[in-house]
Amino acid sequence: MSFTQVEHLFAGVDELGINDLLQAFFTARPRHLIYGTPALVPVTTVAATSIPALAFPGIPGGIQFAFVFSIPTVDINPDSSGGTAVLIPGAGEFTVTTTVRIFFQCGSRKSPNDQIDRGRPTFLETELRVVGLCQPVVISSLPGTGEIGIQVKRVEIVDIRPDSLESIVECLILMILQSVLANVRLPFNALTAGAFGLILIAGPVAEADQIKVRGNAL
Amino acid sequence: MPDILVAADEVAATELLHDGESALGVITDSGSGSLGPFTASYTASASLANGSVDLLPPNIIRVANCELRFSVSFSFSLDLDTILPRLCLPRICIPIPFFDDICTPRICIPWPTITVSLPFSDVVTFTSDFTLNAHLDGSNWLVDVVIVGIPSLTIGPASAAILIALGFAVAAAVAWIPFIGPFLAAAVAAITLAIGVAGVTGLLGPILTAFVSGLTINVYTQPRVFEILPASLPLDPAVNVNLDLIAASVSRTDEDELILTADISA
Repeated sequence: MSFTQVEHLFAGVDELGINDLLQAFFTARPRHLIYGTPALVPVTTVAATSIPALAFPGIPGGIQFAFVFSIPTVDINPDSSGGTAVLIPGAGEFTVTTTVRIFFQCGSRKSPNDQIDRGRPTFLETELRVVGLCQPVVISSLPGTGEIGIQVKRVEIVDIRPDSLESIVECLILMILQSVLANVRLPFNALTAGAFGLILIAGPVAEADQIKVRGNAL
Repeated sequence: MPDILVAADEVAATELLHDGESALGVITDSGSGSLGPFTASYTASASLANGSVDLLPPNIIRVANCELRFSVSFSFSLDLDTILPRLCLPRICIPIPFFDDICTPRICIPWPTITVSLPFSDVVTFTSDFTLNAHLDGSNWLVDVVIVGIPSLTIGPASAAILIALGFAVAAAVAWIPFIGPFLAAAVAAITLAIGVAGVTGLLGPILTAFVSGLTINVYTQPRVFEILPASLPLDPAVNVNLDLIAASVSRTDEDELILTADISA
């Protein structure tokens, strides 16, 4: 069977290539992996993104925290783990594996009128291994300059008890990871290594360890 | 398995070739050559257009009916004395009694040397095989298609047309010459006969062959440090990957395809 099938042009990026693209993206733009409230990230820079503290009555300055993700790696259908992965990519799917380090400020600064001893603020840290089940999606289908992106459908974090807490943490991480990976754009030009302007007709599909697109040459 | 694999069928490969032809632009050349018994100087330009691709494993791109669109401007000098009969007034003697005859000298009028300029444009088509050549040139990866051998150019019709145009040009160039009237047709006929289609072909052939001999059409150029996303200032710098290896080949399954592979690294 030809690569192009009924179309005129085919581009396929192997999962190792996708990992290289993700490595390049997040190395150049690390702020999309690192999010912190002003106590940890006072201002947004290339290196990190500042987010507002979580306001809560009676806590001066709000609740301070940070999420720091490692550069994710992908496993495109079929599963490469031999069945040991916590999430198995089905047809048209791939998994994203990352770790997230969560920094949480315990205690807060004392305000002038505060009569409560809140203790000295300290940061607690934990690290979670996160696996997300994803599928490639079209962000823009503009001929030549279109882009594909990543849609995270669910995440799995193991070994959190009780299960209800695991569900809450998974939901929290799912929302955050969706936002993190929504920043990732893979332009058509990258998928074709700059050889062709792609007019997308079919795809993207995740199969045979590749993200595949088909179409016509611009 | 390569990091990136791009496949193009013959339709897409043909578009790629046409882009390469456009990028090649106009090629120019100049020189001089033999035109029958005369010497002509010329300036020539040519460009490529059209042609359809037939992909042949493992690495041949056959381009059929590729058009070589050329313009040649010839300039050549003709010494009419070499081709026209001499025009002479005969010696006339007047006999005078008791004295020697009085004779006029024989007077010959020399024909001038004329310069004829002849611009000519035409299209010749050719079919030829090209091989794929992927290579790193400095900081850029290139994929070129390089012609194999020297294609046969059918230039007979062009040569015949040039010869006819040459006849008109010579007629116009000599029309001002006194006493040429009776010899005009003979002059044109003599010149075109002296040159002949073979003469024009002998000059035009090497000119056009020079344009296609060693012909290289670039179909892929990308910097080794390949930008996949431009900078989005002020917070998001450009995203680049390294193109570590680019290769090109032809694959045959149920369809012939041009394959370009890339190995990349962050």
